[in-house]
Amino acid sequence: MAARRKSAPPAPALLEWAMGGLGLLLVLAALAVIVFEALRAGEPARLEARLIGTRPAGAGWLADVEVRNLGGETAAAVGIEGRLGAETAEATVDYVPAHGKHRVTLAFDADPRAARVSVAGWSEP
Amino acid sequence: MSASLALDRRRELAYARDLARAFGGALLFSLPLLMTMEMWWFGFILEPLRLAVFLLVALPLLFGLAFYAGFSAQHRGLGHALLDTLVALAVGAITAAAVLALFGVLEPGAPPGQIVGQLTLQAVAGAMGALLAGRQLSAGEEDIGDEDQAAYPGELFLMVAGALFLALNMAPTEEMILIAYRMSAVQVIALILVSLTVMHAIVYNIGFPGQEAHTRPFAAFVHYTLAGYGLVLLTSLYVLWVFGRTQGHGLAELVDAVVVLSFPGAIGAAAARLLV
Repeated sequence: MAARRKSAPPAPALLEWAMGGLGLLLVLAALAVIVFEALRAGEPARLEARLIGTRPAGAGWLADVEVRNLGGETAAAVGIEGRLGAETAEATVDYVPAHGKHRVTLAFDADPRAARVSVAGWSEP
Repeated sequence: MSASLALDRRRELAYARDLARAFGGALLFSLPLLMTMEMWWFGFILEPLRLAVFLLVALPLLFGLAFYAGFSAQHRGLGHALLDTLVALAVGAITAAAVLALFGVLEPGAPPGQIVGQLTLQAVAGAMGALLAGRQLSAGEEDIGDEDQAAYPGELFLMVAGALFLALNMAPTEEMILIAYRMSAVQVIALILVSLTVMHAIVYNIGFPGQEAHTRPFAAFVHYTLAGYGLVLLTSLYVLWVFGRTQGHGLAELVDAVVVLSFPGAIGAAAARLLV
């Protein structure tokens, strides 16, 4: 260290203090959120599918479905199933993050307003 | 203190230029990661514990990089290194947030844990790039950094940093595991030998201080190449653990994956003097 003290280092610029402060703030904020998530985690993934709307598309109909993960763990390869009478439609979602949601569209021949949508299953990421 | 806090236009402008260089370095290093979908997913796949460990382990590493490299020519000493570390993290986080928002990866309605996870991983990578910017982007016009003064532990630290520099870019992808699955035991052993040979060749040619490599080649092999490769293996294991790639693997498959990732790691470690 002594050798490096030949000339006193120049004082940091104001911009430097500002950026440094921002960095510190971001690190502490990130740690706070991560620790908060860690305390909330452990609760396994719990998925719910809900029909949020239908719209005609060409000869058929589309059903918009929202999948919510109410648990603290992320679910992967989530299978969504919709049934309308004898007709079934399905879609797969790569990931639904913990406490997150994802939108899926299912295709039917008739107006799927009365369709029953459900989550068929998922795997651990 | 009041005098040094006064606004000095020239000093602010000079620092703004350093800062621009830091942003350039962050982009250069983290763009491959920002455009890797596994990195987006890790934001919500990784357990918070791993993320926290990743961030906490990264702090001393970034501090070391700030001390030996850094992005500003006027900066010397521990205090500046600490400030540079924090600035680099801010630069990394801003770069990640801007690019991921531009790519439509950041979802406005996503839970905060997901966004923080995605940005934390990328911010650390970006901060590494920012701290190496002085070396990568200064075109040799000014010598930034104190790496010539590095003693033996410092040399080993630079090797770990160099290994991380390459390993971090490769580890997130599925291919590391896939390659390990495809390799037979003979191929894994061959890869170890190739890693050691290439590493030693680079170390030998770049020439570490003290000219030890030229007067005592075997000692140089043990002190730098073998010691460095050991650290590279540990670094690879750590990176694989952070990204959850160690889970559900048998010991043999895990070792294979570590060796695979250590190949780029070894080259990064050996070339640390060029990178850092």
